[in-house]
Amino acid sequence: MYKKALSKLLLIVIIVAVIAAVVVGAYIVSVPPPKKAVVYASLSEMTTADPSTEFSNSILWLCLVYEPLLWYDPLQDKFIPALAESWEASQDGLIWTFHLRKGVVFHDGTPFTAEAVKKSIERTIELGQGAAFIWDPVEKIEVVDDYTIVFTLKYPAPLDRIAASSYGAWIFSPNTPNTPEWFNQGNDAGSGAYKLVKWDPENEVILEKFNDWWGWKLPSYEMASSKAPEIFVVKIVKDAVTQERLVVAGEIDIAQYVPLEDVERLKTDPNLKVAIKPSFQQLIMLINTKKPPLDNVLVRRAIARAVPYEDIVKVARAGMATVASGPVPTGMFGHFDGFRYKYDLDEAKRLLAEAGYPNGIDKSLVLTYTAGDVYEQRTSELIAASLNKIGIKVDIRPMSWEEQWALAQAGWENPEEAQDMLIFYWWPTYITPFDFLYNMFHSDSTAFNLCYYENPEFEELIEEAVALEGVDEEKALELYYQAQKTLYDDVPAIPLWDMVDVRVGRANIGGLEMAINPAYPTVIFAQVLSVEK
Amino acid sequence: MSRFRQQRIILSLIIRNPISLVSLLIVACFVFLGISAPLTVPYPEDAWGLTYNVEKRFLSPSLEHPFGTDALGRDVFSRVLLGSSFSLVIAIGVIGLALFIGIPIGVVAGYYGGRIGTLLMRITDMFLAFPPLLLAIVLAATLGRGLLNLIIALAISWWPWYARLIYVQTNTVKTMPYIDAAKIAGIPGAKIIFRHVIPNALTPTLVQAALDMGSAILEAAGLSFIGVGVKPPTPEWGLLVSEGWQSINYAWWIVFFPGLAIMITVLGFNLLADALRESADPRLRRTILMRLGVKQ
Repeated sequence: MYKKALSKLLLIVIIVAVIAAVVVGAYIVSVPPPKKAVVYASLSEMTTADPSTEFSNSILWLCLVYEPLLWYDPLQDKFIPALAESWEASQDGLIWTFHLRKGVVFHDGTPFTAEAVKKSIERTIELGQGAAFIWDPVEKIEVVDDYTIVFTLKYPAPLDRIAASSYGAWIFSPNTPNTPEWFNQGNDAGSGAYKLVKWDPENEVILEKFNDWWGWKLPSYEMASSKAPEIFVVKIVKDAVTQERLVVAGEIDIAQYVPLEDVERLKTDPNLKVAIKPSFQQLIMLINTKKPPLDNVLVRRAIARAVPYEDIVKVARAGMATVASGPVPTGMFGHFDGFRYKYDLDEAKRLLAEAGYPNGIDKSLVLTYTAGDVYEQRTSELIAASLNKIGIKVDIRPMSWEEQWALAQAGWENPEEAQDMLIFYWWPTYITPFDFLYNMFHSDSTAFNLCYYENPEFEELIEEAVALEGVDEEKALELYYQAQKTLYDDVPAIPLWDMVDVRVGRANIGGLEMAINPAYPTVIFAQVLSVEK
Repeated sequence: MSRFRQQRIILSLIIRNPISLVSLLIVACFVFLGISAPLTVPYPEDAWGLTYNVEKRFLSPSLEHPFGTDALGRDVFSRVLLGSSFSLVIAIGVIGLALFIGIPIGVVAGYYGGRIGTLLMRITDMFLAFPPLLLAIVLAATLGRGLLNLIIALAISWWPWYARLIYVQTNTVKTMPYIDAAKIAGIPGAKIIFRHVIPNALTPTLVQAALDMGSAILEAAGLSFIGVGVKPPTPEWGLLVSEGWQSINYAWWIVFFPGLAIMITVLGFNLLADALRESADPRLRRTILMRLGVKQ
């Protein structure tokens, strides 16, 4: 039979693959690794290499090869100077002056000047892709002298935070070809601590220490370590179980993800170190506010009280998360603690009855999540099981992200056709509550406002708040508070949990915790690591 | 040799061979459990995935939970047991639907032949050109997840084999004198097909179909494992394995027992298939019967 022949063929293929793997493995083992190499396993493939347009996984190494004007440490709410040494804003927040660092060279040998800043940011704005929108407030960029640059804005905006963005804020050499093709062939034009030496986005990316980096020569600079690795390898290992095996065996030095249930056990392994840090990634459930019965705010409020937040954190994340309070994640500027809903099934039933559904809802509600994400799957299953207790049936639908997003987009045309509830992650491009509140809840943001929420008062509040951010932070915070209170009452979405990042490294890799910064998700800042023998 | 005698010999052959007997028992057991599971699972809410229990997460196998509990604190035994019902539904659904598509196409192509036959069989060949599992993956991913979609996807990748098989049988049957007699008697084509062709051409296809159930279960589990099969919290075996795989370093029982269930069931069907094939092959049958000391 053909089928039998096929299974034989499969067997042969597997045997050949195993032999090949062993041979290749033996070969890799037999070649001595270079000195002070650190291998970091990434769960996802790298995407593109163009610093102006990249808006995805490549952040993981772009942060080592390129530098922005400023870095931002959101946990201490403080900026770390990078290519800019100091900066000031005018009283009205419209004129921003940056004083640039002297003695910086790009990897191609070109000295760094204000001209490079202007050209880089203008290229990003012109291409208009990826995160280019962050520069929307900028009207013009003027070079005053080689080390001074002035930004004039159309409307007040926090340009210091924008300049520290995780995407679209890189400065690159003006003397390299700088076409998308050139970048994607594996060339880099950065000034960072590492340069790109091998670009194989589906398997591995290899970075090598750039010895002329200004940071190595500045002994007190907090973003540099004297024992930083000479080689930094980003290796694509697509599942957490394998990553755990590899880091335990010492074949990789840092694992991006391990199964969370194993974390307690790994903590006791003397060869390993577990770094746990808050991240600004939030899992949130967006509700279709235009489709009955969820167009009724009472039903949405009932659901908000029937989601078992604490249990979800325990089950889905093995405790490695914080119950969310509002859509702005814990620890971030603009986060407030008072927006958690109380899990209370009796109250939920009362609200449901008040909404006119004393015996529950007779049609099942569709909840979509991104297939393959075990945390989302467990969260969905818990929500469904819990809503079932108040008489709301939930049909869980795992979908690919593209499918899920396409279905949700149809909701703007016809809310009846779209899902009832959707869960996904949001994390900010640059650290501002506006990023969360605008993208998911402003009616202009049709790409990600998948609750189809329209509230002019709310929109006014956040627009005013973002304009004040760079000028009057206190007033901005007050407005952000009011905006989030509105969301809390209207329930267009239910924030579920704020992720806590867990990275597992070998014990000889020092400074792992310092190398993680929630403003730059997935990145390990290799320049601050200390490799001990 | 009468049909009855033939069946009795096959049955006695199976019973006399211990491996075949075990395989028969496994399949019988699977069918019985599949039918009875929805009524007999110890924790129905756990089995259907309607609840969770934070305190009972990751309990290792015990008397109370013979297969332990999973990440959501649900009883793995109940879920695996109910999984047999889903596997049975999938097996019957896939094979039934594949036969439903394959038989008419094969019979019509075989009986009428000519241009219609060529056209139908070339379409069949087009489907056969795809590796079956790959075609099923593409279809399942396109249709979206769900039990029905899974069955449809597998059946569409499966029917060409049955169409081929019955096509060949029909070609043999249509040359029989009784078909000619029927034609001469003026009986319309459709009636000949239903009365005379299908009943006489069907047996090998049906045997093959029954034996393919093991493969159907395996492929369905495979599709669920890679995330294009049934939707959670359905306790389908492949999905159970994929759910537990994340915790394999920590709680082996969550993947082990559904995996074992798949293995035993598929093995049972395959061994039974081998036994049936041997007993249906006259030369093999004679040697076996001689070895067993049965007079023919």
